[in-house]
Amino acid sequence: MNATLVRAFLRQRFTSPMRLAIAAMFTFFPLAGLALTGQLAMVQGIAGPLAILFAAGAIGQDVSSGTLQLLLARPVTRPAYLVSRWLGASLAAYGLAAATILLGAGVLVLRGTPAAPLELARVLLEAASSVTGHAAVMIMLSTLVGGLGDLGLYALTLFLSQMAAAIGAFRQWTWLQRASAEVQGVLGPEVSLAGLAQGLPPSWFAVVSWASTITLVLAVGLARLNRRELSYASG
Amino acid sequence: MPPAEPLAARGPTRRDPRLLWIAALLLLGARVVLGVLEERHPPRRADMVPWVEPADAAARSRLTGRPILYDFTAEWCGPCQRMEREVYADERQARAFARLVVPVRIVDRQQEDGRNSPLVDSLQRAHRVTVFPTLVVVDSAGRAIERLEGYPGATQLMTWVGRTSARARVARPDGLRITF
Amino acid sequence: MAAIVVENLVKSYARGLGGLGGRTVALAGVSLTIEPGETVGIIGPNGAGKTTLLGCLLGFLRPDSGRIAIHGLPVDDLAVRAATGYLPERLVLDRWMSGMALLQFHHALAGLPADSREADCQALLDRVGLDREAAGRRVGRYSRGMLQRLALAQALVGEPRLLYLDEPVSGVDPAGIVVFRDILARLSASGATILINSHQLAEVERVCHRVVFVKQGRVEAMETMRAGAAHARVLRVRLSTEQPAAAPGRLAAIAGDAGATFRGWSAPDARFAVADDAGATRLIAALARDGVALIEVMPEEGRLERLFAAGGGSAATGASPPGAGSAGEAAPAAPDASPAPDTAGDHSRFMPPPGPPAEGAR
Repeated sequence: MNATLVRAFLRQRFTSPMRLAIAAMFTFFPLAGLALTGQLAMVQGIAGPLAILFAAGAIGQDVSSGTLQLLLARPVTRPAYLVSRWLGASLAAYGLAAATILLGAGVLVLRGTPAAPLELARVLLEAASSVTGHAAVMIMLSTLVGGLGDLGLYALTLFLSQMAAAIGAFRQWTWLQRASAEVQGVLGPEVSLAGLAQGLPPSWFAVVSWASTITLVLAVGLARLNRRELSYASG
Repeated sequence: MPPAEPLAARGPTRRDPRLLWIAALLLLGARVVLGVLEERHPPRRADMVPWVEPADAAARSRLTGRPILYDFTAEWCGPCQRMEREVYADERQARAFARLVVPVRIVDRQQEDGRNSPLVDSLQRAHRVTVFPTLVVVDSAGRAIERLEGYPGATQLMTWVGRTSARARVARPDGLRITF
Repeated sequence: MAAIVVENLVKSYARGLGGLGGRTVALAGVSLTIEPGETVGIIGPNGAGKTTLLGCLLGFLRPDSGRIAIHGLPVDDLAVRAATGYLPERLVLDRWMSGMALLQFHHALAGLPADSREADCQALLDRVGLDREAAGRRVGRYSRGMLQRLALAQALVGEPRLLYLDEPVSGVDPAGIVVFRDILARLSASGATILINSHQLAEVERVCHRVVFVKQGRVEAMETMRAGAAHARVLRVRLSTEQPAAAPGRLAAIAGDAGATFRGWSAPDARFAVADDAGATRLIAALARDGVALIEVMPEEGRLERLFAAGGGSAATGASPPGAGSAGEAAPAAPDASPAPDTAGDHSRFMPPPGPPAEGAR
């Protein structure tokens, strides 16, 4: 973990007009929906997409632009670099997500239909798990392809898993349905705390799955980053 | 030229994430174990669906105009557990579910107890249940409108429930049936 | 202890998808030793493997075999990184940062203390000649020259003991080159080891103690840039046009007396072949004594250009340690009898080249 890297990454993400514009869209429409329907659940799903937005190309763009070379010529370990990228993306995404959720809660209060505090806590905690999970997966994909190819890889994998699920449902192949559900779970690791309102703890399996996915993808990403040769050829 | 002090080694930049790999593999193992455990002994899960007793189902259906949905399930059935996790435990889905149908849960206890109660047996026979989960939408006259075998995923399930309940609703208690 | 030791470095790349196209050998066994405080230039034709060599030295590429030790440590060590400054050929700097912010970022990354950060970075910016206004501007709006200066400043963060410069003066205006030479001189005086990869042979000849000629993945030649080295060359002597031109016979006679050979006219220059620096001095003195109105003397071909033309020196000194003082080519001239002392402390190289012959031998 390198504080300098995290700070610089955050500054870079928040000065990129394209990303900010997309982030604004991701937060504005759910907020509008919340204002209209009075359901806190409307802002529940923004955490994952925001994490993907901020993590996309976090490493790949550094590689393809060549700035990674300059960075790694400094006394920075590659693990520190990767973890800093992951943390930076998570912080950026969660900051926005939490702000939106709290704003939504405020809107609900103004509307006269305040959300239960436990419900609010649940949404915030789920968002945290979702952000860190999605960011980790994107970071790993970012080590595999340059530029913004990780987005493409993500979309492709999601699409293929959904096709597999459809085929599995059609042909009654439970193994295929299970496999595609697993893949989709890996693409979007998060912990559902649905039972919180009833005082039920989350299932151990869910928490362990989430933690296991994150550690696994980070380890893979790190291994790839360690092996990666920075193509120095100037052509 | 000033004398150069020797450089003291500080470790490599490419650090192998051994701890991370160990943690990842341990967690993966734990995940597999817990997955198997949970399937055998499913934890008490938040079930947001207001299940209705079979005896009261017909009356409720006539009162609300909604068709009855029988969920034939078993504790050991994997897809049933997934359905529970993804549909019944989800507040939004569960509420939508309850708004569309009168939900009745028929749990098969053959595996655990060796036999079922007569009510469960008769219902299973009447609707020719052979796999789990099987969902059957029934109108207030007791006629099966449509059945679904297996769990096709939350979205598809809700679509099916919505579509089928809409069809069933058109059936009026006095026997006049308008179908599309 | 040597600053950089390279032993039998071999590096090849896979061609095509998954290596189906075979392997291209970029480095075929490079060996090199660089002492602390040396400024070494690396030259060679395109595709010779210079960029690959630099990549291996910086830890970006992993060699297939061979060993690299930097101050006795492996290339990948954090301590080596902390003592390294790197100026890349592709000037890709984070475009969204201002110049000052970028320097401070690298200052922080290098692990240097925060209290002196602003002062250090301002000093660096002054050294490379970037004013306050430029420092405040976003890097995305920099001109090429400004980028080069900022990149140089970035390489100098933390007073590195090892400096790797890749094409440091390509596209730089003359003022920038002067700044560059000055910085290099001071760094060299402070004991830093500098490695320059460049196509600008004149610059390389000027600032480096030694030049390594790399071709086809091997070190083909090593030249020590010392005055007084014995290498035969052809001099072009420009004669004044205000006076009547000297007859070829007279020039040939004067040259012969001085131990040189008159090679003919190539107006407005007369061409003479000399055996070494001493011979050149003798020739110039003889011409001046005889009243020949010469206004300029220059070598016809740079020393280093010859390496490219001849396909590398035949005395390939790939594995020889430095300081042996051997000339890099088996020229018709006799080799130097006595090895000249290492001129690491001689900074006359950074002075302008000798003018009229009155300068004499050094």
